[in-house]
Amino acid sequence: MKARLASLAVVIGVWWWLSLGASSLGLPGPVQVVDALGRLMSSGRLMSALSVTLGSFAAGGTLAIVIGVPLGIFMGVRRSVGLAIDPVLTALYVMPFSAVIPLFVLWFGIDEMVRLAFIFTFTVPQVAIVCYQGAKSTPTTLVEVAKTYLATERQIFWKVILPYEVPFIFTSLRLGVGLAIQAMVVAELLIQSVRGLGFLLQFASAAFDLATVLGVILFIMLLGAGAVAVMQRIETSVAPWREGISADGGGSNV
Amino acid sequence: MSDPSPKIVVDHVTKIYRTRKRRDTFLGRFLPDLRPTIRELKAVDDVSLEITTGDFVAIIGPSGCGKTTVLRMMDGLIFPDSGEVRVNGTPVLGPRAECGFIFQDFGLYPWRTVIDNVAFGPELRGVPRNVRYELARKHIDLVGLKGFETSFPHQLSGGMQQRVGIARMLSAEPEIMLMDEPFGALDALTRRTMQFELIRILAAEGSATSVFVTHDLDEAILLADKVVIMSARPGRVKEIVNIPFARSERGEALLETSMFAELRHHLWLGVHAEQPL
Repeated sequence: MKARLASLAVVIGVWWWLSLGASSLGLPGPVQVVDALGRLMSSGRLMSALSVTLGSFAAGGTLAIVIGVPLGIFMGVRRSVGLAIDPVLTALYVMPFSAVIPLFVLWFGIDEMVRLAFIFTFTVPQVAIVCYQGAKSTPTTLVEVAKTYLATERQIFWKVILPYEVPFIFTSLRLGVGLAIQAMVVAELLIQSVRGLGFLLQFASAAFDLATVLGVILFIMLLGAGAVAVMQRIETSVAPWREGISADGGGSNV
Repeated sequence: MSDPSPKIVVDHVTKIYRTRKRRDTFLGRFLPDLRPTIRELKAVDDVSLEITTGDFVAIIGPSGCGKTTVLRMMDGLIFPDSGEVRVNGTPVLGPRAECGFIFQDFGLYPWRTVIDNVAFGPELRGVPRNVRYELARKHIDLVGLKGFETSFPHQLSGGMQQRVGIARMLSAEPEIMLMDEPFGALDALTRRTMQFELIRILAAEGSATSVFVTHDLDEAILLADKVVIMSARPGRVKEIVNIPFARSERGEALLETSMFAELRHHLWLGVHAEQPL
């Protein structure tokens, strides 16, 4: 905790020091940014933008998890399916975000649907790949132990593969949240059909209001970090044994 | 030994491992395997063994001589290419209830507490929770882990983890215990302690039939009635040495006897001649 606070203090310190010599058009300091963020909040613009944004974020993200997690596990359990789908996911994973926006607009229009599809498409590969790696890496010994005790295929899945997979699912969710946030902002920046956070960013930068731009970015970062922290909390309470796994290197350091 | 009929029969068994090897050419490194070369490795060659009810048998031999392969074939985890393994007179076609297996790297489920690991076998058979917990507690006490029922494996030392492994096997109530270098992952001191512990535990459990694989000559003499020496790859049975000590004699003092030293020397010569450089 101490180390975290120290690194945070250093970052803010450097930011403040850099902003000293710059004009407000170059780099606004921490105080100005927090101030701008405060104004956005008190005027209610931030919250209304947030509610717009979170709608598509939650829908796209949830869909990505609901489909990506089982898909990844299935790929890990059925090796041939895994080998067949893995390259497709990798291709999707390395596809540049913003370059395909025009296509998405063509296919899905400019409403809710396009943002949902966009977030889904960019989150699902990461989620599925991590879950795939997890299911694939189930240690042979653990499966053999179950076989020794005459486990059925079904029992091996529910009592060995799935529990082993739990930390990987959480890792995939953590990474997924990050990606979904990025995809969401990109979608809103490039398809300005709603007044979400992306719109706020676009609007402020058009007005050269850098303090507000940085404020919104800071807010999005805090939002993501908060979501990840919540996820980690849930993970340690659901899978307290995870400590042990990562300690001997068998864990989900993906 | 009321029943002299062989418990386990290994009947002219040969096992060949086949590994696909990427073609070792410049392009082969980048191209997918179009024409894989298959490397064959004869691990076990025409091995025959008979293990009688109540026997405690150790299999020793140089690294890679196929001793683990033989043990895994007895448990039905792998199958011979030719020949047959029979347990209680019927061919082994897969893991079966008569056999329990101890893994070198313990094979504990990290997400299960000690008691849930130990009760794993009965749980799979659908034994109700209170019944299987009672069974598990009995064996947890027996292996000396009372008080650790709700600990997770990562909170235990290596020796304690293998105690859990032993308790788990005992809870499945096997007639035959197969152990693959059960203490191979432990440090020398813990290993010695665990050897005496295993003697104590098995004495308390009554005489099951046991087969174990080891690198440790002392362990083989200390625990086994018969030691099977296997030759270097491809593994064959080279010699079977009878260990004349009674169950009651097996303890600390035995290690100091000249008989023990002679046996160890004999086994050493047998294994050493086979050990590749």
